[in-house]
Amino acid sequence: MSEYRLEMRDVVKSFPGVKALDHAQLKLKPGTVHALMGENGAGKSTLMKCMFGIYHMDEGELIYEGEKITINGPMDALNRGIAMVHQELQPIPERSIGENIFVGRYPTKGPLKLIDHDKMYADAAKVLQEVHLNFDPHARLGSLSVSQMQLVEIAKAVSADCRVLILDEPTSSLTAAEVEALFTIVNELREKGVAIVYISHKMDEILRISDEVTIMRDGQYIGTWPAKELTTDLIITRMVGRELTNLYPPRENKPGEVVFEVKDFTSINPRSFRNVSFNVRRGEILGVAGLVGAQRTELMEGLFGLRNHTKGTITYEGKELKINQPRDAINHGIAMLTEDRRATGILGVLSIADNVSIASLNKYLIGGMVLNDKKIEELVQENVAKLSIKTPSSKTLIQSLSGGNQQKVLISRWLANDPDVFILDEPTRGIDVGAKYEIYCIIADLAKQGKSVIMISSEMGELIGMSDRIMVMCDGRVTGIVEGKDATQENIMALAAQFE
Amino acid sequence: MKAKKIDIKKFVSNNAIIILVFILMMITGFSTKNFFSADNFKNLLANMSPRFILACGVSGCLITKGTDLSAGRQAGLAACLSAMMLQKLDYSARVLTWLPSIPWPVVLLIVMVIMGCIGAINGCVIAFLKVPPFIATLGMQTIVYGACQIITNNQPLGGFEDSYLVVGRGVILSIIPYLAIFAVIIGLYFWFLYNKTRHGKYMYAIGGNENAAQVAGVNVVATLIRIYLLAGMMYGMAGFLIGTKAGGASTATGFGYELEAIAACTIGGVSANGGVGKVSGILIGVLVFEVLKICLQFLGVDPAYTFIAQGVVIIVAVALDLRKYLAKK
Amino acid sequence: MSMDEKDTRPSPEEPMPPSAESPEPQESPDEAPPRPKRPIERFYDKFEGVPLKALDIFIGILIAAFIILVVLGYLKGHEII
Repeated sequence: MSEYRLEMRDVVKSFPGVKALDHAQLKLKPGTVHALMGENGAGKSTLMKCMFGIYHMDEGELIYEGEKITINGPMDALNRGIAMVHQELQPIPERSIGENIFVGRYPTKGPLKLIDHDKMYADAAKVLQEVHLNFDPHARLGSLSVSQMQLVEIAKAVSADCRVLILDEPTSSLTAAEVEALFTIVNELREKGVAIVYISHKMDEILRISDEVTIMRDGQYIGTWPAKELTTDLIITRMVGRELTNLYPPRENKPGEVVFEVKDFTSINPRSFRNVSFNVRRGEILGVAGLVGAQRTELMEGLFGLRNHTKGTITYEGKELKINQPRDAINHGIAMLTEDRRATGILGVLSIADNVSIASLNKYLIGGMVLNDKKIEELVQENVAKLSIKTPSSKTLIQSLSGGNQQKVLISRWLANDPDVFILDEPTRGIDVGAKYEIYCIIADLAKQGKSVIMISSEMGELIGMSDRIMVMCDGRVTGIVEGKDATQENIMALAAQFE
Repeated sequence: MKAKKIDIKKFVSNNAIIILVFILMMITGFSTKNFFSADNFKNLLANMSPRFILACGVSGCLITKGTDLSAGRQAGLAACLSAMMLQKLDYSARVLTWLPSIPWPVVLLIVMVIMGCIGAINGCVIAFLKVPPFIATLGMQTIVYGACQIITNNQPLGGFEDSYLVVGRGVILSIIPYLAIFAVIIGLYFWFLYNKTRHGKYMYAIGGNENAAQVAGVNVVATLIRIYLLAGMMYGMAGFLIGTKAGGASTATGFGYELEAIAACTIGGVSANGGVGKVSGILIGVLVFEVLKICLQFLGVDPAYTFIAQGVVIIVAVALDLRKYLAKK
Repeated sequence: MSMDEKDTRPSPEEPMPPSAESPEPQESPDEAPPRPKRPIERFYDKFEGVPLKALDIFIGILIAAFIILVVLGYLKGHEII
């Protein structure tokens, strides 16, 4: 009986144009939580998809409980006791929770193999209980919040009575309380002897929950270490392959006088932001902190004209700004990088050139009518160089770029108008460590140029590391403004949870 | 070797209909007389031209993830209006007996303006009232048809002035119909509009991601209204040309033209999923569909079967487009 | 310790698709929401569950139907049947 429940040896997997896995390795011991870490593109999800049968390995061996096997597909994997909670949810919101849990493997009865609904709901109730969720299995999945749906997804995998469980970014949509619930489940599974693979970017979680950590880089296996021997810095160094002495760039901006003022800004929705007042100075970075539901994004969308407000004023350099839609905000020199670039940021099927120029086309006209393609191309090249955007050409479709590069393209779009106020909503979400640093440098540079930067973020480190002042919101109201140098996790959290 | 295999498969699936029709054309050409003749080519161009103009109009709607089911009936109304204003002064069944003789360019302009207004109404309903384009234009389709019936009193219209008839029948260099000249001008205009103007960029942006376009400051409402307005004007011109080509117009004119136009656009790469589409593609799509029709006609295929076969091609075009969309996911 | 963002939208990012150009590098968003489905997105999405193979077969059947229709129509048109 092998020491390892599952081993993957010398796995090679290529896609047209790129070698995703280059002799990758993984060894899972039963009853342990094994973290798998690496930057985006390191190959973590690919390796897991090979394990789960979604991809076929080009080369390599899979040894399960001492025996060499091949997995033909997800159903085969499930039958063998390997379960996976995917990073991207595939819920069927219109159907009940019970149906979602047993999709594809409904319990049947009788010779006609009709679905045994009673058994299904009974089993579903049991499964939900096992993971300490008290949802009604008859309820529509769509009635749950996203984090709850993710918990159901986890329940689904756990219900499959697995011996190996793969969790791919399981906490990405969960609240702090729910993360705790997840950890309880994980601990119970660990005690039952399940081998758990835990993929996450969240260092603190990894260090807390895992026994061993495997790090991958560029599809290659870098090494495995016991979690207690690791620190965040060590992990980052090994993930990135070089020393990152500072996560945040030195800031050379000198905040000047107050230029942007918001007074008593209130949403038409009484449960959203209300009576918000704050100001931003020239060349300052104002961080915006808050918990889920604090209405930070809603506030910024309101300021930008994407949402309606009933009262309140916005002034820049003393002049009041009337903003009813994004175009008004843009004309007044405000730019906004939205939270979800794929939903409201990038024009996916269009080229980089189109994405960069779309908000500033008025500036590149011949005779007031015809687009000056040459000038637009110059603009694009200028930005590609200035922000180090990695792309084969300006005609490449933006959707084929990595998240970090997409974000840079969006920033270029706004820079083309030379805005005075730059609102950034979670600017480094979904971006790997290396690219994050580049974005931080760009943000710092914006402030240095004298622009007023407002940055919403859910990452404490980012807020404290980048902001001159931090505004904290809770339940739609501003609960406090903390000076950057005085900010600590504790005092920010205290303000963020004031009304909870 | 493997890479090449995938390439061929992809090529075939992307251009299946074009390949199919090409094969059909070869079969027809070699098994019938006069297929590859100047006369037939002239007919092809004549048939294509108003359809192409109509398709250009619809393309803007498709690119912005909408549709325009009123295209055919609008063209029909345009044909009837043009007919009423261009009947011979001494024609016994002249409808607008009080109307003096108006030069056809003026009539064309009037008709385009009227249809443009109808298009603008479509645009407003879709952009302001946020009614889904399918429903809005379906409603407009019935309204326009009803209006046409009222205006023409359900009587077919004929007896056109010679100057009008010449537009539809005239040829230069004995092979290029005047109709084709209209098509070329419109084609060039649309190419310019889609590639070299802000409106074009905004249109693609809205089609690509309407929410993102809004955030980027694009005036979505204004752009959509312009698109449907322009489409209306194109239906106007198409109807005007269809009337003269046929030498007559009635409430039946234009029936179903939008389905063919949408299919042609889809064949030509204007994905119903928005954000993409080129004028060259529209041209190819229209060409393919017209060639299909001519082939079936030349082969002597029973008209009922032709009708069904055309319908099948339309479904295949949409299915292929759907496949492309799903394959990406 | 990171604070958690709003739980209004679920997380996903496209799995690495094999594609001719450089594949989308795998993003693991910290709490990034997926593109919310726009109601305008045509009814194409209703077919998301359909496996491509089934669609291919469907298209194949349609093309076969087309050919049969043309042949039958030809025969009918020439009064052979």
